[in-house]
Amino acid sequence: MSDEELTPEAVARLAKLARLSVPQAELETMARELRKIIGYVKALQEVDTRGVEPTAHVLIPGLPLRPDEAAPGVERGEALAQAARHDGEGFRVPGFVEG
Amino acid sequence: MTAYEAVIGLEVHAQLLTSSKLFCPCPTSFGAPPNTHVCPVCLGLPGALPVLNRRAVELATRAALALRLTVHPTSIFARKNYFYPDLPKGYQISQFDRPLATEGSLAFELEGGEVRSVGIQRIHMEEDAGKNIHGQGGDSIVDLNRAGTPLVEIVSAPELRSGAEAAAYLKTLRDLLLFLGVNDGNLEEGSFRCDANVSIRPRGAQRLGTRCEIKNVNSFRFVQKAIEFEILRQEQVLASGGTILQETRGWNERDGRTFSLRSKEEAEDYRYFPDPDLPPLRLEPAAIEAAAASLPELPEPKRERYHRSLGLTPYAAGVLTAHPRTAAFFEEALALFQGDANKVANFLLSEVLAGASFRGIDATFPVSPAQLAGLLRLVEDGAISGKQAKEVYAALQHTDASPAQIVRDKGMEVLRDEASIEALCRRILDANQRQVDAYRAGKTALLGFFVGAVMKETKGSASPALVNAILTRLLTA
Repeated sequence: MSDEELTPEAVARLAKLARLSVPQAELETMARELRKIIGYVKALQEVDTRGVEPTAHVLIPGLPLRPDEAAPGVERGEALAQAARHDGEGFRVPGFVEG
Repeated sequence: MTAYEAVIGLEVHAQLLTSSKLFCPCPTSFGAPPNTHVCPVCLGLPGALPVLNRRAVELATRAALALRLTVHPTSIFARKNYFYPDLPKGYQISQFDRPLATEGSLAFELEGGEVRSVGIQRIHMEEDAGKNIHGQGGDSIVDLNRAGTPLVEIVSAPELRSGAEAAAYLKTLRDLLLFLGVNDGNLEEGSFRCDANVSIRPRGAQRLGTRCEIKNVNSFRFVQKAIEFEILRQEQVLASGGTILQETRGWNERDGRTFSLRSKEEAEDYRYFPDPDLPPLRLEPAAIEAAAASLPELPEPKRERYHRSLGLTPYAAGVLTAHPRTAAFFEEALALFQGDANKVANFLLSEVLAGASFRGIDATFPVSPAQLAGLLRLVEDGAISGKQAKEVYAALQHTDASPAQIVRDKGMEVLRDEASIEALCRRILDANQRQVDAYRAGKTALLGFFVGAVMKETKGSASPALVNAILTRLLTA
């Protein structure tokens, strides 16, 4: 995204996608601040990286794999205890339609 | 013929047949009590790190190779970000711009024998989401057992033209994955799911029309009906001067109609980016070649071989290759029997399959291949008649007994004593002098009548070949 595009409208859209609530009055400020940050990173874009494989990780050359062996995870009670609401069997969330 | 042609592309999500999830060791078995197959990784707890399942990579690679895709030495896992209650991390780990494999094809046969080939655009690996188990006072209850289950997404080119083509493509793909041992082909349990993208355009036009996506239809027949309905619906909208809205639609089986689930006016923005927890997946070209070399025989070539080399009818070849366990049963029995493939196939089709049951990739048969081969061998050697074979078969089912043992226990050995059969034959001929004269006057078809009479007299226990030979000799003497 170029900084010209980072309008208050674009910030509002990003906020919506990220489920963040940003008051209308702050959109302009936030857009300005984000443009600054992105502008800083943008300096990197001046480096010509054509034909250079992106660095995914500096320590690991490839993805480690594990054998396909099943093992128990955590007890249901412990898993459910991490949630704000549950019914002893499943996580309780505001109603949604599957699909 | 209408003025429009349909353009259909299918996205299939097939669960890989692993024991554990894609990025954690939680079991993938179906039907466990809710939230008992979960751990910090698939619950999306902070600090938990994904570690990729080697077997899932092998199975996805196998599927890609069988569908003639190019498997890439480097592929990348990305985060697909969206918020949904069944997605605990707030993103799904998938592959995006660097998928496992691209550009392949699948040939399939339509009813009537016409063969079509459709492009496969890509195959990538991804994790499944959890599911909604039931509502409760306006809330939904989420089960995360399925979250993190390994899937391959198989995306066809938009080259299908009708509901029937789509159904034939899906059936062929399902059979292929089943024979590869990649997927259990179980639509009801959701381990093979299909989304269909349907649009129409004026016949001959290049530009694609606005498409609707039909989600999660769980049978081949319904996919066909849903697509057929959707094509008609879109034609009617355009004919009445309307425009097609890009939307996601569901299938209502009872009404036989698709219905709008949600509009897609705002193109989805998943803000994909490479998952920093997962460096690129590297596959050695030698390993890819080895996987290609070790692919099992696929259903289509197998069917062809049963028909051309073994001499089975196309029908028998089709039935025997409908499930990998049936084909394996047939091949094992044939190898042990070492005789005419048609005899094995006929007995399997007429008797054994009637008592077989199938569930996903598993199958149970009432007898073992060795028992069937032993039984057919007894008939072949003339120890029992074909009629007796059915009786022995009935006694064999769900036992470890050998066919020879049952024959001995039942005292069923074929009457092969030539002298007593000849005496019986003479008796039958004497009692039917009129038919004997007619036979000798040229009505040789009456041989069957005499054979039948002898067999009846011996309750089917005489060797038919022997009876035939003796009667012919006596009648022409």
